[in-house]
Amino acid sequence: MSLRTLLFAVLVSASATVMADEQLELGKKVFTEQAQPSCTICHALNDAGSVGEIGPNLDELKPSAEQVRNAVKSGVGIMPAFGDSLSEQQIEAVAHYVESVTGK
Amino acid sequence: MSINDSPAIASQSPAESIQMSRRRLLLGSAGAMASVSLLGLSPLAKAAEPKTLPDYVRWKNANDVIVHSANTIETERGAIGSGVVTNSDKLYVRNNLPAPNADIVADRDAWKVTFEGVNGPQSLTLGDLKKIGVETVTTVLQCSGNGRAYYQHGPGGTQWGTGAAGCLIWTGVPLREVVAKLGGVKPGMNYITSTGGESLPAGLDPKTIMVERSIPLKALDQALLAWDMNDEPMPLAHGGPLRMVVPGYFGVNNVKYVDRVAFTEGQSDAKIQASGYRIRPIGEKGAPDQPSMWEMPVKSWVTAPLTTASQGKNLVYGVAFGGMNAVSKVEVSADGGETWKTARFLGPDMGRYAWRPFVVSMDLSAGDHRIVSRATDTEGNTQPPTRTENERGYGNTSWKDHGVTVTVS
Repeated sequence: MSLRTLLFAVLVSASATVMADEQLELGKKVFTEQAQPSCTICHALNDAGSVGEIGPNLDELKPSAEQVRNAVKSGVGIMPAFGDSLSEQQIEAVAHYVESVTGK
Repeated sequence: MSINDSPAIASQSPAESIQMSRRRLLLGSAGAMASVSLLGLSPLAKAAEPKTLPDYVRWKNANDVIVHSANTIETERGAIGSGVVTNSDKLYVRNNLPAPNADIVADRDAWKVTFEGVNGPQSLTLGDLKKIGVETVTTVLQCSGNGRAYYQHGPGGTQWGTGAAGCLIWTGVPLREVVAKLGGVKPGMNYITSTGGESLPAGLDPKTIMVERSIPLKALDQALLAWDMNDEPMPLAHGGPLRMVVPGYFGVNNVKYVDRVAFTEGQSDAKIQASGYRIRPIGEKGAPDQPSMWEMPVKSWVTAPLTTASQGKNLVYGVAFGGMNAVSKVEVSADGGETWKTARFLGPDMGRYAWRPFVVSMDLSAGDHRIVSRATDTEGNTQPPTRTENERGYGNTSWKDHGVTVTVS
């Protein structure tokens, strides 16, 4: 690999990391501030400091990003749908946030 | 309108049913079956650690239950014995809201219930109710979603197999006797609407989460305000100090921690009644004009053997119930439904709302056997072979779905 290609690869992955960090930050904001009603009311999630007991404890459930995306978008059981009140970007962000901080 | 009114839908081939059942047996957990569900847990991802019992159910037998979450705990299929009554320590838990603080069972007789829609509306304490009358009745308690695991379209929600069901003895005052004492039901009322006394967190519209269920007025015939379960004060986990018990009706209508009983003209507009627990086609949202999960239909399932057996004579066990009617007959097949043998009931008949353990001797040859059971109630309703497809995977009574594939050697 040439030096230029290497530098390019490093830059791309660095910016991808920065974008990933920004997405995580947005995801956390969606979780704690932006979603209405707030995710924190119903869900316990260590990283967010929430202790809601209505819905499943997310640290225990460890949902995948896809599961979070589906649940947030369309609701499930008692959980309302946020597909109309949150943007695609917000939903993506919170999905990746929850998946990341609950670990797998 | 009951589940049985829906048109029959073409089923999977028996081969597909067996395939799915093998997969479920390999995974070894009654509740772990989940195909493409909204929030179902992929069993392969979650295989490792069994969850510990939450504090409020620490008294239960951890070996007999599967903890899906703090509020959804399922009885192991093989833990249902033949003694008719389900021990409280293995009974499933399904809370729609977290259980209230244990201080509500510190002074049980002080619990207050408000009665409305009667000619003499009043608040009565549990101590007052105990003086009005008493009856003991044995009923099947079953979650609307029991059997959801077998639906193929991946309905979200707890993937119950057979373990969201039990048979319990309830002691309490018949609601009709309370109503008589309060001057009778006001004219024009069509429903009994019961509200659970859980405290709700701030920041949420109460209608979206409160547990408030309406059932037809005719249920007044059998409804019971129960304070004891299996001859002990009702555990907090199961609705203590007081629970509205509606014999023959799905679990959600048996409102826990009931603190308000209202006779109403229309159904509650709480989400759990208006759009929740409604039978509708796959892909449709719940709405008040759809049938509600009220009366339970006839159902049965095998409880032993579940995976393996020895060649020759075997006793096949299970439980069967008619829901609103007594169960009158159970047939068992060891060849997936080609030939049937009538089973006999085991133990006492505890009334039309209880289930009946059954047993039948079957000669099993070496190889795999698909063992299924099919019950019929006293009105001639028989368990259908296939499920009624619906969005939320409610009310599964399909005998094909509920069978077990047993390897005989």
